[in-house]
Amino acid sequence: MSAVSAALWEPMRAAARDGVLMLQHCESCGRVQYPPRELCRDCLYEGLQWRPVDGLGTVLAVSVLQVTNDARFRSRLPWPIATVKLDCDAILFVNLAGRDVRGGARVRVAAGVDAEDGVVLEAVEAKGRS
Amino acid sequence: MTARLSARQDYRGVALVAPATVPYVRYSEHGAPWFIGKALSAMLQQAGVDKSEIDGLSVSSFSLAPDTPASMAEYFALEPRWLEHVPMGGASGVIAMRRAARAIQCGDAEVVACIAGDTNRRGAFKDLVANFSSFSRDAVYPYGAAGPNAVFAMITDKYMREYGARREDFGRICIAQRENAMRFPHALLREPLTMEQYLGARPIAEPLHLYDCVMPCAGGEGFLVMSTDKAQALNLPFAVISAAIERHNAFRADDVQLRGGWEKDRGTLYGDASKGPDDMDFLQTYDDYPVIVMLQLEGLGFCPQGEAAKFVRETSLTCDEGGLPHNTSGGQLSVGQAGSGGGFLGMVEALRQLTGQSLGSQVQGARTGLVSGYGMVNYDRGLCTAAAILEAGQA
Repeated sequence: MSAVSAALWEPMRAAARDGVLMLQHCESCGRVQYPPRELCRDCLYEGLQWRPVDGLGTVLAVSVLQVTNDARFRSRLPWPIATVKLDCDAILFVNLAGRDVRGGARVRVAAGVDAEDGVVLEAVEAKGRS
Repeated sequence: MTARLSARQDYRGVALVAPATVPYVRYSEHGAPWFIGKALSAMLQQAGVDKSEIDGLSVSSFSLAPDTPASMAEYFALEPRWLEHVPMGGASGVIAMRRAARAIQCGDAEVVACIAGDTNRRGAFKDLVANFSSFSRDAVYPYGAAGPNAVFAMITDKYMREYGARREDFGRICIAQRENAMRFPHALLREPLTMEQYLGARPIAEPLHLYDCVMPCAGGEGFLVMSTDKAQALNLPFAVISAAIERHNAFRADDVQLRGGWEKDRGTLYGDASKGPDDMDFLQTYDDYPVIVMLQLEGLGFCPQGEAAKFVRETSLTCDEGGLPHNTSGGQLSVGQAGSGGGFLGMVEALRQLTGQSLGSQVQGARTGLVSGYGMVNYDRGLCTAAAILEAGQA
């Protein structure tokens, strides 16, 4: 991670250490965006506020990784991951709790940090369909 | 004057010549300049042009840093008056061609060398994918470090669920390309591939299995762009550009990428060329994964959206069966993915087909062909799309 990225991600990382998922909200147009940017993707405004979100969303697609490019991850294979579209419109790559979650499933995404203090998101199937 | 400047100009008077490939190798200890210079050397030899005549240079490479196209001018003692960098991965070939053609038409250069070259040291692919973009480094790589496999597994999973495509359908694309590759001397993978082998391959990033994934390698590709007058004076077989399009970050509101920019611009593409999909003697698509071939078959109008699986069940994709000759050299899935060379593979092969210089299977009577590009997965989808309709030139 570059120095610029580290600064950009710091508020999200600080919240993730406490298990809180925060995303950037544009103060001008209301867009919620991810990955974090220095300006709003839509209106290019620089006033972006980090606010907690409930993490509820829908699985777009899933994959079970059987191969990794990084030795650090090898012992965790096979590794289910997914893309999730949160109800607030942001699309996230996440680790998936469980191998039987399919596209279309309702999930809740939680934030934490990994051994290197990087943000890690995990989706768990939400109880009771909305 | 204003009206003239705002109208889209055709590509009249531009010739594409000297398609060259630096043979691919799985790994190399050479640097990217070796592959770029070898490509240039092969192009010059093929065209009978002296290096001093190259006054335009376009370079595409992922492994050149910290060097740049300007570095290449010094490295190879060139003095170009037009210099271009096309870092658009799988769309680089078509886009380099578009840029160079305008330089020729405007008189900014007389002979442009368009080159893609990449090396592949052992272990280098991990570094490339780990740092491909800031979004992929910070928001994709931490989830299992699968590189592009993760993104294309998602697209494939969604495509299969949305449109009912099966693994066998992707297999048909891979197997037909392998058949083409068996006659192409530069292909790294030339063993026959059966459906049984395809389906029985080990999983990589499910639903992707081994033969769905390109093999990273080292290699180079290139071609020269000059005026048709010059090509004729040099007595070179050449191809011309009937139409060309590009689009970046199309359909960004789609949750998963099931279509690319081709759909937005195909009206322009076929309209400018006064041709349609049925007029194409061959199709070269960007095949980093077979699902992306399906997106191009649909986006370029060879079949309706969501029906590419049906199309590949009903259409032969090899060179010699009266179907749609597709990725006639074997494509990246069989030849290998030489970094940004992968974005030139279809273009260079198309030029060989149209100038009767095929190294493998020659599509009989090939006069018109379509080359498509796709590249740059910045986060969850490829951003760059491009396509060109090329025709054999009148010698």
